[in-house]
Amino acid sequence: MNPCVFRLSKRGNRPEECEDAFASDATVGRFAVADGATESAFAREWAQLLVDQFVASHNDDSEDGMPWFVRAREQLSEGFRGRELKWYAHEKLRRQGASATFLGIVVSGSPGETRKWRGVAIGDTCLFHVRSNELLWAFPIDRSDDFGNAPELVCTKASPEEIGRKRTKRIERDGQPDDRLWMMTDALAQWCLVEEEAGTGPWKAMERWLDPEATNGSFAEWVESLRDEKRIRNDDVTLLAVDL
Amino acid sequence: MYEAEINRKNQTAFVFLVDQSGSMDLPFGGTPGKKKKDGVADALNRLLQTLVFRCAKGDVIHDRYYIGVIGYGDSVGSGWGGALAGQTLVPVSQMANNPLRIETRTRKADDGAGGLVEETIRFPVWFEAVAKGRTKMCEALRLACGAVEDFVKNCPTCFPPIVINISDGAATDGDPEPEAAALRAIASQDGNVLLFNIHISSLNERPIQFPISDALLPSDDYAQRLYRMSSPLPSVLIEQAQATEIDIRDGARGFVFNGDLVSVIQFLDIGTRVQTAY
Repeated sequence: MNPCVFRLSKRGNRPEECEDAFASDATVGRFAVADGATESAFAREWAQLLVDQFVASHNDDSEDGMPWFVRAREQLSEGFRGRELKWYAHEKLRRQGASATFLGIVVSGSPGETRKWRGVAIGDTCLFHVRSNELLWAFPIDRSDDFGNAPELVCTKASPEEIGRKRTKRIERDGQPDDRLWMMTDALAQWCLVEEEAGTGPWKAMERWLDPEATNGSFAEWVESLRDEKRIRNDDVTLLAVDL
Repeated sequence: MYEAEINRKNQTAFVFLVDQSGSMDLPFGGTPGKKKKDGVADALNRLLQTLVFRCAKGDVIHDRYYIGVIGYGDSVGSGWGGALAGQTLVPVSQMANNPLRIETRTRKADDGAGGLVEETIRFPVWFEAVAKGRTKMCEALRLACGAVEDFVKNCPTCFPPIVINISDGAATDGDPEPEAAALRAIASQDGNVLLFNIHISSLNERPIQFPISDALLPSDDYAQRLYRMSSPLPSVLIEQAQATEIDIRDGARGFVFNGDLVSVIQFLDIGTRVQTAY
């Protein structure tokens, strides 16, 4: 169940400037992808803290308390302690906080048997559950028109209750051996839904990324060609595939 | 058109023209008790701060914008002071790191439990209130023309530069309408320069933002003229604004009467919007 992961920065940005983040721990079946909001403060750092904390919080999975969010927030402030920030970094963080969209899943059950997966999502980082190149479930967005400039966000200034009760969408589904879960950030997710709606089925095309010879370089070339053709927005892209 | 991405390799420019004439010493109609010059300085400093936030990635600034301030009163020229004095367009990082000073202000803020708490904020000041002399708006528009022409020549694929003229409207050096038309005629491959006008009036009339007709304005010659000088907003920007719930209709012009300056840039260069309500 080790995931395949691909990542590419927005065109014009350096690889280390990518504000998407992912984390996984196949031994406990936890996988997460987050997309730092361009306009928020410390978006990259915040996205990484969220996915790391979600994956690490397998001993404390209560939904309402959002323990991974609370711990990520503590770690972010801890990182600033004693550090003299520039006025703009300080003020932007104080006023707007750090924000990201988030998708986390937990897969349970034994390999080779019927498995369950549970997902939590805030915003437009998406999951597609695919069986034999057919889309079974799209979560939390299932129409390409539903992407916009103001997705729900996990923001440091929000309370755990606000995020857990009002902004989070949840799902729980069964899966069979060989089903595949594609997790991805919004630009690629929107492309997948456009293709799905057009009946051209993106899932077969996406299979090439599971080939052991596929590299991040070949993934980058493919995304760049979609950008050239203006079929995908110029944004950071992260793709993660989990086979059940 | 008006779809070029703004990034460090394909920057755009914001140029602010600020009326510093003697009449700016009069009270501001929108906020009685406040002088027009103080309202403008405060709003401009806030606006510059907003532009810095747009480009700030943690402790680093991405130079996606060049920013210019041209003051017009007794003299016409660069409105920057301190380390930036005399320059016309400066990269946003240089501006961010060189305010005249950073003031510490206190304000009341929601404590999250239904009460108010006093908090301290850092407020950078780049621009001081000035009100002296005549209103050489035509000369300021010509200076902006030169700066913007050079910018577009160096970056022909840029998102068209945005010029924001903040004034009480009474030009004393001729008819500014032809100068404004010349400025709007400058174009990059992505469209013509956008000229916004912010009318800071002593009239105690309700604020008006992005009107679609001059019939909606107060019967004031200066307001009417500044409206005519303002660019009609391109449809792609109107759509973006509508998506962010800003009330702008088709046919609107980049004109604001006694209104909020920050609203002028709110719908430009939109990334993932951070909700203001937490």
